[in-house]
Amino acid sequence: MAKKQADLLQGTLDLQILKTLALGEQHGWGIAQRIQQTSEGVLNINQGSLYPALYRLEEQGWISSSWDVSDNNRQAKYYKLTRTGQKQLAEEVANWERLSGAIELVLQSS
Amino acid sequence: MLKRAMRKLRALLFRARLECEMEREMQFHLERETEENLRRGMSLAEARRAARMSFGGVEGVKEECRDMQRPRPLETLWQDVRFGARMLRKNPGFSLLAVVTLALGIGANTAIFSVVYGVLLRPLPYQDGHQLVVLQQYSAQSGANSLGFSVKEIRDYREQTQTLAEVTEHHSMTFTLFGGAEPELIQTGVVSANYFEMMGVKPLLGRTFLPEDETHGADAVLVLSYDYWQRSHRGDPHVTGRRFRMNDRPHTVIGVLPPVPQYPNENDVYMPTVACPTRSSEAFQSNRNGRMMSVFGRLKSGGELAQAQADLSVIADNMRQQHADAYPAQQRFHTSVTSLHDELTQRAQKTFLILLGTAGLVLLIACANVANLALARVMRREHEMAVRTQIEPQHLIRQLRSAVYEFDLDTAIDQVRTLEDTGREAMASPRLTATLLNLFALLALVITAAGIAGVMALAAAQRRHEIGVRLALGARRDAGAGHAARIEAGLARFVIGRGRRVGHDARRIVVAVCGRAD
Repeated sequence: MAKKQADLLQGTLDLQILKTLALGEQHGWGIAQRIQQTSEGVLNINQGSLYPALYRLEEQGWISSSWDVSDNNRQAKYYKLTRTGQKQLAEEVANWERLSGAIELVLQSS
Repeated sequence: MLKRAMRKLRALLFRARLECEMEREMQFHLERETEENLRRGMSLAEARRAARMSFGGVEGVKEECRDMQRPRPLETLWQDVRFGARMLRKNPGFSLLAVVTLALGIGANTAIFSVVYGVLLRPLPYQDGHQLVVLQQYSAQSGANSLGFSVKEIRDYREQTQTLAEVTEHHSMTFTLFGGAEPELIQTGVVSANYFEMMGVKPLLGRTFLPEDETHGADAVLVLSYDYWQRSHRGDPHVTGRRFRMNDRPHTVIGVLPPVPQYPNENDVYMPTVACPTRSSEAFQSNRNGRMMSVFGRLKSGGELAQAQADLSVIADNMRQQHADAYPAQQRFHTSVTSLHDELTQRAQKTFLILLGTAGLVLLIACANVANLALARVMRREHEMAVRTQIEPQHLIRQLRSAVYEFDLDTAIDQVRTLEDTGREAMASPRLTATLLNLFALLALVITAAGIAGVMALAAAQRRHEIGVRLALGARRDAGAGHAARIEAGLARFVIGRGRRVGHDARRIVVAVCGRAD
């Protein structure tokens, strides 16, 4: 059951991370908080699963990371969107809108 | 793109640092989450537990992260290299055998290539050595051997040539020399006055011949070879000016040659053409068929061998038409010109190329042999490999972790490691010592192998000059191959430790290696 949920989230998780980072650079915990807040707790992801996604996105060159001092004066790893990441975000948003639009149409017609 | 490559490189080189960063990053997350939970009014223990719950298994997340960032092909290559190094370290016998086998193959190749380069590929060690040529005259009767040239022929070529700057002649005779402790039979080279100058040989003492020495009625003069000077005059520095009797007339010593091997053969003394009774006799000089002399020339600067060949052919054709009686048609006389370098190396060439080919084969066999040994080792480990590739320890960890989670979610299982890892840690210190020792041993081995190859190359290089000179001025024209074979035999003795002839030894290597390869 948990696995199914993770699969479902996988596709949207990248989009959520990119969208969150589009607002400015943020560390992992901050991203997790932000996603939980903005989705009003609906998409309550397993926080740990955020990190493999971050590493994958960095590997793909869509986000980059650097160490910086956090708001409570501790070292934290901050992620930010790269130029290719911005392009990717625009693309994924367009894809998502097309998909959700289609699903909406299907749901309305029935 | 560059940044990505850099990151991959970093991932490879700074593994430990990345691990540490990953740990810190997740620790930071858990701390922040715990603080957040405390702020919501949980107790510390509760807050920690909740943070851990919402995060999931740290090790599992880490493992997934590693999967995401691992640069596979490079990493695999690096692992292979490390594995190879480890195997070599673990099996010094095998390593030694492999290194020695390859060192022999490479060493033999280097040595033979040095000789081939020195003799076949390098220019002659003379000023403008590439411009020296050899003239040869053949007939049906003479076959593959040069007939030699007569006085009249030499004069014709010398006077009519358009392409040769100089033409010089040489023949060798035995005369009796009086005036020393007792009469001596000496080998005498009879040459044109320009002979030594054209060949680029400078006298050690006194002077060589001048054009005046070759004029009719000039005082007879002698130039001594270095060996004869040492042997019969014990290197007397005042030998110039001494007079000896030869052919019933006084001969004055005017100079001594340096210790270079002589070409085309070894003589005790040299005299100009006019001093040789045979060469200067009226009958001999007027006889076009008195072919006895070797002829050499120097191309005009910028001249091509092909032009010289055409030029000399024209002269030879004219000669044959004008003196048809001296050149019977059925004897098919013809004249050729060869560069001295080619002429000297012609016979050696085949031998050298065969040697080079043999050495190449030896190297190939050495490689095949090492590959065979490696293969044999792999075969022995086949069972272990099968087990290893079937079960990946990392998978086991994941399975174990999920199994533990089934029982108790709160159990900290960050410390699951393979037995291998645990063992590795326990062995870390003694292993370091062993590694260092082995590293030095390997280094010593490599240096030794390089040293052997170097010494062999040096041995060949040191003799290269000598080979070149000897071939250029050598005693016999076919001495080059024999000499090369001798050098090669010396090298082979050095390489293999024993053996009399290189051909013999090369065969033995091949057989021995093949035998082992079976």
